[in-house]
Amino acid sequence: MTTQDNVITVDAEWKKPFPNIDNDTREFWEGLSRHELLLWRCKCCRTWYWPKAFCNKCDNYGAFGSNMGWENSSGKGKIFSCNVHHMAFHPGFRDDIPYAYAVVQTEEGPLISAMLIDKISDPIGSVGSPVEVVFEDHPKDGFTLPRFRLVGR
Amino acid sequence: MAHPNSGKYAIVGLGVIAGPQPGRSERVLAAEAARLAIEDAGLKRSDIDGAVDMRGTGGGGNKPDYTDAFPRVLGINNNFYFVTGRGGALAGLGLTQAIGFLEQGIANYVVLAGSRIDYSRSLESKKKGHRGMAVVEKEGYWGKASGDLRAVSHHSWMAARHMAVYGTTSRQIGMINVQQRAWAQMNPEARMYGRPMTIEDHQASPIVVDPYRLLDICQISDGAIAFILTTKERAKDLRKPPVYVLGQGYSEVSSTLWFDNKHFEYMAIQRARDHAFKMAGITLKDIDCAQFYDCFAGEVLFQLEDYGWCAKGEGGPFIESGAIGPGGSIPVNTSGGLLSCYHQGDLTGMAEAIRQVRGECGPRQVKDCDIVLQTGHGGELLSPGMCSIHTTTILGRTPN
Repeated sequence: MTTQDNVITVDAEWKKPFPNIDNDTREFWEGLSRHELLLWRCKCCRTWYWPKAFCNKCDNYGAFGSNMGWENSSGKGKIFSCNVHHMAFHPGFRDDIPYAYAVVQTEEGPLISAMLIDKISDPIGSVGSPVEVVFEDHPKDGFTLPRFRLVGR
Repeated sequence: MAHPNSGKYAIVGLGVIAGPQPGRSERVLAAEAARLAIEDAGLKRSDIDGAVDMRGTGGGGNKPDYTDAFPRVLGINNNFYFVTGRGGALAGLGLTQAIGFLEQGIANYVVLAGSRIDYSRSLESKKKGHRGMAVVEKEGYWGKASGDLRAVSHHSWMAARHMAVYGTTSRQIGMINVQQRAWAQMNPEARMYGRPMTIEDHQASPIVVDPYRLLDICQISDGAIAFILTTKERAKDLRKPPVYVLGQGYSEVSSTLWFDNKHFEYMAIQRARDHAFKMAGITLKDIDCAQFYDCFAGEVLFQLEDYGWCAKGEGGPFIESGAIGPGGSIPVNTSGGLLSCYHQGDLTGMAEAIRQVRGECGPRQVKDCDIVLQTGHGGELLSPGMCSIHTTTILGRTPN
């Protein structure tokens, strides 16, 4: 495993459940491979969304996605809610526990969930803490997982 | 003023199978619960002309992997059969759909049955190193590669957010199951009957996903529940007193699920509640007891606030005051609920609601129980989105 800036490269084979990368979300995952955290954005009113949605604000009756698209985001946000898993429900996570699984509110607005890099002991106290995205590359398995780490501490 | 459809249909039979059911299939359990419900109503199998299978096919539930179903095993001459349900929202959805068939004159007596062998399956799954519910892989399930493996992986965010924003404590949340467990001590059918629990037991129980301790998390159960639905006119001459469907309501918030952050502080209750209360012509104070869907303790906290028994953020002190247990101002989950009785989706609460209205609950019977609230909750659990459906059902002793 090597760490460089906001990228972690994991050489080991992935032994956990694979992310669901389907035609609806492929571009998002391709963005992660380029080390970009893409969010879905309305081209009319510029509102940001979590991957895939019609705009809730505009009367956008065009073909699906015709007025919306993926855009790179800042990769920064704050912890909106958080928990710490003390039990590995899947054997692949035995070495990770206790791990923090957080909902991050991105600077742009949408929520996204990810496993934190940091080991934390107080998930309630972590709510509101600033975080930034870290891209965890898995070259053997051909995908990049989004993670977040606490900043400014 | 109640809606003209309020009380037009009634539940007339109930069948329950509780406890571990090793070696039995879900279809056999559903058929057996259906047989008990038919018998309870004083009907014959040949009277039943419609069948509904309530399976949690949404988020945390089953994929449709079955090639045989309970009506064939039961041997009824039904005009229709279908499967309904989303996660823990089963009975509320099944009721309205069955009523549609009664309304159209396609059926006179519909049997609705739900069953599960999750407990037995979890024992098998544990041998392979998994913990909790056996089913893991879900299409579109966003977070599993990030460690979002079970419902508690994301439901615990609701409790965590509530604790962070409103200062709710682990002890206050623990008092939910303490009070439900007290109810369960009066219910021999409950899995936790004979096993009372204190707040100290809660605080000493292992942290599974912080802030949730083991005793904040519902059980994984085997069993089956079935009930019979018919018209008000047909209900009058049967063996048991009719339990009238006074009001129903539904909320669906999937369109704002990943957009509106309030879904971590509120459940999708408002529209369901408003519609059901209006249809039944009731207000909150008319409700004698509440049978909430309680997959986790936090869902009880949220529902108490969102239905209006206390203000948003004040659920912790309200619960701590003893309001929901025996002798409290609003008895909640009087069977013990999913936390302390068993997990049959919202059928757990439906069975208890039927029994409370009938006055069959023995030592835990709520006095003068005329009107009961029952809820269901579920959906496609794609974190960071939470459950998008909420169902409200109002059952009562007298038709409007």
